Amino acid sequence: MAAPAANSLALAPGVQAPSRATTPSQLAQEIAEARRYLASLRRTRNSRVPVAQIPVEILIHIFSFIKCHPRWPHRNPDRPPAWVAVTHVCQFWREVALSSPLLWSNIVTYNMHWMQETLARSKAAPISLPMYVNHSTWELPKTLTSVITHIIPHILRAKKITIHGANISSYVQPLFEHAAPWLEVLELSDIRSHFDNRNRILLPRQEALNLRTLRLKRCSFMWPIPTLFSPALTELKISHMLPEDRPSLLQIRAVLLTMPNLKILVLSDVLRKSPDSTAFVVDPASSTVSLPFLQSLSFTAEKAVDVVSFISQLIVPSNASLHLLCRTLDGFNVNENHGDNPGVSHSTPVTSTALTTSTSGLSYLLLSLIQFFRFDSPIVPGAERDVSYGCRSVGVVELDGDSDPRRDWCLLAGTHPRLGRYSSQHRHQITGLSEDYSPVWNACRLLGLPWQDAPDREHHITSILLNACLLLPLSKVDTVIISCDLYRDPALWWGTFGRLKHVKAVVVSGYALGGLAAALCGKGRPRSLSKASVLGGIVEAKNQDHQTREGVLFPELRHLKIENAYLGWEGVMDDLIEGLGGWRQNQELGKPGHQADRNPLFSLYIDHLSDDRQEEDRKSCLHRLIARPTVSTGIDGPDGLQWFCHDWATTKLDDYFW
Amino acid sequence: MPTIVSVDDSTVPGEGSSRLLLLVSSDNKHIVVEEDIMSRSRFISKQVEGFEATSQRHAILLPFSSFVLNKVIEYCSHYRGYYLLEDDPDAAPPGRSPVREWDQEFLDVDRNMLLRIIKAAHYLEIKSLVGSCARAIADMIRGKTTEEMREILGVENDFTPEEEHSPSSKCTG
Repeated sequence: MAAPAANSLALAPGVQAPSRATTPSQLAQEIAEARRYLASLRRTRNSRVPVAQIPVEILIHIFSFIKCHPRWPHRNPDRPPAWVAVTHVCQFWREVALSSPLLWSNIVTYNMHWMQETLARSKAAPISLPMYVNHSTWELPKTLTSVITHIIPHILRAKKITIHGANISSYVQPLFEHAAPWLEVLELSDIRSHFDNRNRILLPRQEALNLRTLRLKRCSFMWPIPTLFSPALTELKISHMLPEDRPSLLQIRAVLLTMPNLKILVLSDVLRKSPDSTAFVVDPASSTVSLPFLQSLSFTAEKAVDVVSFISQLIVPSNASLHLLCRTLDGFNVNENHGDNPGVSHSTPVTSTALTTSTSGLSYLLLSLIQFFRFDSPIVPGAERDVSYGCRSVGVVELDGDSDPRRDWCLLAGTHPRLGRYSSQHRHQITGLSEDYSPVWNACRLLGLPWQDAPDREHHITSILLNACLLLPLSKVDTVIISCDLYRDPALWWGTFGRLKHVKAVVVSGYALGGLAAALCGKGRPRSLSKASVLGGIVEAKNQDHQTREGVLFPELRHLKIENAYLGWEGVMDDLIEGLGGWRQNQELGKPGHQADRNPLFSLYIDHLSDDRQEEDRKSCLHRLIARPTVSTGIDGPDGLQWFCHDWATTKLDDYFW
Repeated sequence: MPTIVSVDDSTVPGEGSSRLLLLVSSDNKHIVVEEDIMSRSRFISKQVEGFEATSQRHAILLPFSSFVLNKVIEYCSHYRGYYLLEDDPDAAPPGRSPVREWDQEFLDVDRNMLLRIIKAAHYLEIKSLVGSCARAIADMIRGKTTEEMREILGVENDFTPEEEHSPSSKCTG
């Protein structure tokens, strides 16, 4: 191949063509100069393309969006943060990125080189220090110790510290020796499976005056921490405290009294368990804790009575979201008896938008809430009041109180397909409920109704449930879960839920399906729902929209789940078909805003039919119900109806439509 | 600063609740728009305040084309009367909220148009539109390699050999 002409290499003015006598090192130097010149030409060109016209502050804005987005590949300790790629696009972008300290304020702690780079590039900006320690990416304890050593000189400008790892207390202690006046968020999460109080986190010496968010998970510390429990806190989340560290109700109350600005409060396994068969006794003369800005409260304790004791101490806004969980109704401690498997407590938790508890605890808590919990609007039975509270879900589950509750629970344990599998190993979890902790017994006690002496117990129970539901702020309820055989009576459905016009989902099981099916097709409906007698004295604001649909139970029903139901029961299938058909017809009345296509039943889920029919008969029932020529497990039914048929396997509700 | 020219009252009619503004684009198109619609723009609001102080009404000359201006007006019209957190000077800056569904469709335009809109929004001080455009651009280049980003943005590698191999800028992008 012929050598190029010497003058063809003269790329630009100032770049001389090499002579034959030029040495290789001189040539290399000339190549470098040519490259620099080429770079300057490209820089000039880049300055004239549209993207270069973006003002610097917007470019920083764009970088911050790219940086923060979670879709970047997961951190890799051997590589720099993925977003740093933008600093390699062109020289201008690099200049902009490097000149903005805030872009580098999220310190990279999983890579020593990049940690030093980000610490330097963030200059004097407030920094976030995320330390996620897991054994695959860290050489513990050497690396963490080294990281902390590098960080300490910069702790003064720490705005957020997150440490997640095993046995973190001994490593993080040096951080707390120094003042962090800008600290706003502190999150410590220990992931060890067994922890003790040997590595308690000592208190920070300096008060964190600007601390707004404190999250402590599985951390061992002595309650309270005055330097961290700041009155300015707006979010306090503490979970899984060591049993011997747990504070009493009075100690928690004392701390909450100093935090009037809380918006989010989560205390999970924090309250010391009260002695068996008793609730915490709080001086009734003591003032309650007012949390006027609270948006969300989540509280978990072993015993329902402890949950009630806690919430009875609070006054919160009526639209605050409540998540209450108790594991047992009696003094039985799941953890002590069954190791680390609290998930096998006597029931599957019923998760709802606003109220969470174990199934049998649910009714107890609902009733207790009425009695003890103080919304900021007073509940005065019989008086007109605002019913637009935030409660979104209500359930009365497995509440069979028309006979000896102890026997019923035993029966339930033996026959309930979901609970039955626990019955051999954990029978006492299910059957350990004494009469004292029967939800119905408690309902009677709380509402001042006699239990043993009730001449017509079933009638009383019905009244109790009805009154309890009507006392609760239910106008926004969107989910109803009924597994109570008393609800075989359609009048009870109407009486309890006839006024609830925003129910989107119903879960029904057992004989209650019969009541629902009958109620859906109008049976048991009182002549008028506007009578105060039906509402138990509560007067709901008149609503024209409600009035027009008064004749339809659950006019916005979208999801129906039938669990362990007996479709072969006389008339159930007919009622259900008619009820659903009638329901659809009611949508076709042509009323404004309620056209037929506005309220489709999105899903029908049939789980574990309690039916002794042969399979072909069962299929025949389903054919009739869903009006399909063939039966198969699948989606896409007629008229947009989605349906699931899940005869034998038991699947979590959440998997489908929650 | 925009050039401001005096206008005849008959060109910009309206008194009271639905006052009209005359906007003049760089291609000399006159666009009459209700003041309410453009109130989302801090720049326009400041101009209008200035008019009120001097009791004189003017056309506002803007340094971008009528095509871009019409897009901005379309955006402002869509959100007329809506409260958007980003446009609230007293509100804390929003976090990682996704691009609003309507904005996604609205900003489904080519790269150069998107850049023009963001410049116009920045000039007019419409923070919500700037934010949506910035997110849209970030979405365009997120997850891409450096080379792919250059290709999308139409820029070339302009680093000198020394800059490219600087030890503090090692990147696997």
